[in-house]
Amino acid sequence: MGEQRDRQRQRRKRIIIGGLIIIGFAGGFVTGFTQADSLFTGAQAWPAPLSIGLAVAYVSMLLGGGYAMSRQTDEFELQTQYKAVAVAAAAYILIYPPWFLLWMADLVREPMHGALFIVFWGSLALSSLYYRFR
Amino acid sequence: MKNRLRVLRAQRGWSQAELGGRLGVSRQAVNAIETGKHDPSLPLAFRLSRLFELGIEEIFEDEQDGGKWRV
Repeated sequence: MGEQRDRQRQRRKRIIIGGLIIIGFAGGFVTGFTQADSLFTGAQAWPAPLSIGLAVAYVSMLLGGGYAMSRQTDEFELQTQYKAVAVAAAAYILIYPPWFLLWMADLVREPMHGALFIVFWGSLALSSLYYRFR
Repeated sequence: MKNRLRVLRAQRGWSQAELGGRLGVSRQAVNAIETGKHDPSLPLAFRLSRLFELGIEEIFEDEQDGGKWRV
């Protein structure tokens, strides 16, 4: 009985995560396919519908997926996520202000929002894995 | 926090997944509680108490108290 419930919960989590991956992959594929020449250079502005669509999809995935996962998450997993978010936030606030301040004196290049985005999500993923499997 | 969860679970022949399913938590949560890496919330502690028909203090040991489990 208990194992069946556990399997059902794991299955629901896999469906939610799978759906998010598919949406993310579709958005990435469309973007890469249509904007391959200026993906990271910003050489030309992306079409407004593409940018708006990606922004809406991203926020929807975050809020909707987050809510759906929270319904399947137990207290241990929730605590793991709280700790992981705290680590990611700490990484962000440790890196961005000094980078900005040094940039203001022309000592370093302008803070790269893409790099900071990767730092945040990378820290979140790594710390999430650490707290889950330690 | 030290506890007798592994022993109580083994007495009933339950796997960690089985116990987790009965409590509404993941197998990882059960493992984390058994190994002392995670202390359960009060509602979960009460669910454990009801499931095993034991008092909370009979399942978990307050290490600061140096208490002994009551038989």
